[in-house]
Amino acid sequence: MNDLLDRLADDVRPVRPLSLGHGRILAGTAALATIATVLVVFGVRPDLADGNPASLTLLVAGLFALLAVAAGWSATRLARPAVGGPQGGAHWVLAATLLLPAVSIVEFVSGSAGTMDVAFGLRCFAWGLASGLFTGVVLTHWLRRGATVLPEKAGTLVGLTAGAVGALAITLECSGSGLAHLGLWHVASVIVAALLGRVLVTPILRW
Amino acid sequence: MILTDDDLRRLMARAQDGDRPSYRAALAAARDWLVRYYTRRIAPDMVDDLVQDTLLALHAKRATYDATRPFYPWLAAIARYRWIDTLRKLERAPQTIEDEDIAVRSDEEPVLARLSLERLMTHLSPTQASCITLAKVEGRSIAETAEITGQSIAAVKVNIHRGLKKLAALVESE
Repeated sequence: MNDLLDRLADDVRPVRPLSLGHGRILAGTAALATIATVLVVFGVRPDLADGNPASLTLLVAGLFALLAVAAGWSATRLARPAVGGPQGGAHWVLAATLLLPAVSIVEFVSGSAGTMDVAFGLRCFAWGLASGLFTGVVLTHWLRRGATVLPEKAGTLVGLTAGAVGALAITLECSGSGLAHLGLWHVASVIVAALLGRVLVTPILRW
Repeated sequence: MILTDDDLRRLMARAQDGDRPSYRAALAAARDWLVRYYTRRIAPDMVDDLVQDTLLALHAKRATYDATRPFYPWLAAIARYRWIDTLRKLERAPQTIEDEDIAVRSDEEPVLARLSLERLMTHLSPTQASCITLAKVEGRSIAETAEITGQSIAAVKVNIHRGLKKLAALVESE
């Protein structure tokens, strides 16, 4: 055993301590780049471009932004091994976001939701997922430099962050404004991204 | 020599700057702590391997240590992660764990008490806890465990799988 200690000690080199701030800046930059790219490619949604955004749009976009920040904050924190301590409020923001599909379903059941354009919904769902990919890759790559002891949770949070960023970007360009559309299709991309993160990112984060 | 958390914190900060003597001293203290930690948690003949595995992990991930924070919780989180990982991979441990209580230094008691296997096991169902204890800590076969607990082999496997999954989730949250 002493041989191992000597070998490890001989191998010691200066290392720069992992900075959570660095990871957060990287993820934030990736998110902003994603949003900018989506808006350049697809254009800004009409009400926002006119400077008169619908209240619901702002509310939904705000929830996605909060979710992205909360989930990203918690994900980066998991890069460091730790026992106990606060895990961030991502689950509460997610719960608030899930109110959107819940209310949408109530609208459908009560018959006040009107008709749904499934093709348009699928388009937003798919682009929401795709748009979050870059942020997810950047965050995953950075987390691999760390040593998460909760890879499943970290994977889920990476997916949640990526999904929220993608949904935010698409919400800012999509012309749909109904609660049924935003609450179901846009939120669906966040949920699916979180599930994909748990399944696909978790093995990558194991060490 | 007994090193306090403050001592380790300073040593690790110097180690991150590349100071060999400080790192060697920190590794020795970590080894001593890990030996006591794992002695309570895994078959005796596996302790050395697990300690070495954890020291290699510590070395590889030393950049994740934040010198402004306590050292032992950081080490404990890595130790538990490696322990759970080993339990998952373990098909059969050949020997039974000794029923002895290893003395623990007073400065480590809060951490060890918090991380004890018994405490973790309280989060599992009685059947999950008994299956994991028999098969993964005491090293009995699945068939023996099934016979002792009165469950089918399939049920034992399910209980071990679910119990270990839950233990892994508790690594940081407990």
